[in-house]
Amino acid sequence: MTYDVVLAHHPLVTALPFVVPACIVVGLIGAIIWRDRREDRVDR
Amino acid sequence: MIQTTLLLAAEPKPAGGAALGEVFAATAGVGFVTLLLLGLAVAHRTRRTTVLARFADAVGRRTGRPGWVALPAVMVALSLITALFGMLWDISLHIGRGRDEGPLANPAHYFILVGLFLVFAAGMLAVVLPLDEKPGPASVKITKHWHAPVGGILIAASGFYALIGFPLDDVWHRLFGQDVTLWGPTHLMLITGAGLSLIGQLVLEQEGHAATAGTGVKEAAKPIVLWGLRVAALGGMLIGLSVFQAEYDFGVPQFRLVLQPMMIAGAAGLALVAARLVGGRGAALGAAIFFLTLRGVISLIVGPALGEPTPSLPLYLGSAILIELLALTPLLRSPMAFGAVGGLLIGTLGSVTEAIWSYVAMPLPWTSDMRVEGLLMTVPVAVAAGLCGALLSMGVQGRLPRPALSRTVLVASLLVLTASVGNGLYATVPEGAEATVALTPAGEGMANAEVTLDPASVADDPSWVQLTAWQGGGLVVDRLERTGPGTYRSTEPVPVDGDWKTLLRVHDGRTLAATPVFLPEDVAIDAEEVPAEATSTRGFVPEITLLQRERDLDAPGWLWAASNAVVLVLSLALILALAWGVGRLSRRITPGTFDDESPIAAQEQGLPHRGGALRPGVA
Repeated sequence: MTYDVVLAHHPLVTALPFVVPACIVVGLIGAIIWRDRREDRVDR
Repeated sequence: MIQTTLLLAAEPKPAGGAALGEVFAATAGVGFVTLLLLGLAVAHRTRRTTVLARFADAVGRRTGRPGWVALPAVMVALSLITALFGMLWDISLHIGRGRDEGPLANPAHYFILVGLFLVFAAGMLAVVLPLDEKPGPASVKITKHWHAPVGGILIAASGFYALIGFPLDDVWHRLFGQDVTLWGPTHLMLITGAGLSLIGQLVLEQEGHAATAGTGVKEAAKPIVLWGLRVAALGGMLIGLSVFQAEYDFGVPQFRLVLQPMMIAGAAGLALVAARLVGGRGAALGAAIFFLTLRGVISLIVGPALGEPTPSLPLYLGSAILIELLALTPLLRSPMAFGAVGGLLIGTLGSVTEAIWSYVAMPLPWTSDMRVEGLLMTVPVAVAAGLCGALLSMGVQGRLPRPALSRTVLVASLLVLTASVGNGLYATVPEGAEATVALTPAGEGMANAEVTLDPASVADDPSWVQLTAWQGGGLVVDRLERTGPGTYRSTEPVPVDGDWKTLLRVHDGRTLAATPVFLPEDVAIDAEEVPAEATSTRGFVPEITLLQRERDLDAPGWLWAASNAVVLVLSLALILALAWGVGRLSRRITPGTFDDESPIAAQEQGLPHRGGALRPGVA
């Protein structure tokens, strides 16, 4: 059997499908928490 | 910069890298789902839609839980079943067909990844769902108007930890070659994350109950349904912890047999003790039956239905009965003592039942040579696991012992587990030993074998002397028949042609060694053919060099140590996060909060009962 495919040779490429969306969601929550705490400090 | 390589009419089975087409297709699919979920979450929290809340509440009404518990709980259960099926199918594919052509080239990987991603998404769903309320007493502040249940955070963290294992696995393969074993460090991350997410699930469920208990809202679900949910959670944990044993279930363990009883007793100690203490009468037995049913069905799908090698499974029923019997004694009122004695019973009598079961259903039955070492490894791990199971049950019931004791038990348990696993991993190859294999043709590409070991003492009282043929389109494990001192013969023809990799394997005490009978040429990893000759005499080598031909054993030691350290740090972070979550729940709820749901469990353990009739129908 022979293969005719382009292979990704960088590990981050294989992280794209499932891990990157998860990282984006975690980052979003982190940003929301950071903004809330900053507003808290400003209010005080 | 991303590098790509064009492989035109390349050699069979490249040894690394994902096809870009698969990467893009998967990215598009998951990206769409993520955007959909994110959009729904934002619309829910900004009150532009009530769809999510109404759907969650509808599920909640059926299970007597707030929607922010019920919907994520259902999602976690379905996701874990998906991932479990993918994991067992993936293992059977590797055993039957060898390494992957790339991380996304194996259909089973999609089930694993989708399952793990949805575990993460379920955790985030629990975080996002609660509106205008503090979801339970242990909730964590996100913003002034947004609090998240700690169980949801733990589920998301477990799913995230497991997902990170995927790109790390790809990095690992590039640094050290493909490790075609379940026990690769990054493979263990996938399994551990999935299995431990059920601790988050248990915490979330208790938070939901604590939130409901404080409002006076009558729960709609029948007690037997609530009991069943808890049994399913702990039975699920038993399934998760049992995935570590999968190589043994298939009959191709790459490590010493003495590790198998230790793993079975450890899983039983943690999950069955916790099940009985949390769920009440019959819960340990229920968890074992749940395990046998779900794992049994998946084994049948992977094996007979999909035509891949069929995994066997441990029994656990003996240990479950022992725990149920122990719960009839006054020891039940002292959970830590109950956990320790329960672990002791599981490690001894429970192991006897598993030993008998190994002769009935396991491809590699337990042999007498590992009896003493097996007990020395199994009993301490079972006791430690029983204590951790008791701690878990006390944590979710709001009555953890003082922190110093809890931490000591947890750390000591981890040390006991590390020492036992370390001992189990230590194996030797007898110096200068060799085997003469005489092959007699027995059909196309098949042969019978007669084997002479030199010296004969290589296998005095062996766990196995076997011919294993795998990765050529199936699995053949032939335990050889002894014909005299150091001489054996096959009981069935074994393949010695095509893509098959056929080895003579010997395991006796610490000896774990193999010699090749036939190995095909493998250009992608620059490995030459080892031909099947009519008569050959070859020396024994460490099994890993033959079972994991793709491994690069020349990688620098510091790089290997540093890579393992990264995985270790991530794993410890997850364990600490789970311990923090259970501790937070325990500190913030009142003992007896759950007596409405599990009155018998509460009463028999001497917990205060907050009123409401004892419902004998619960268990």
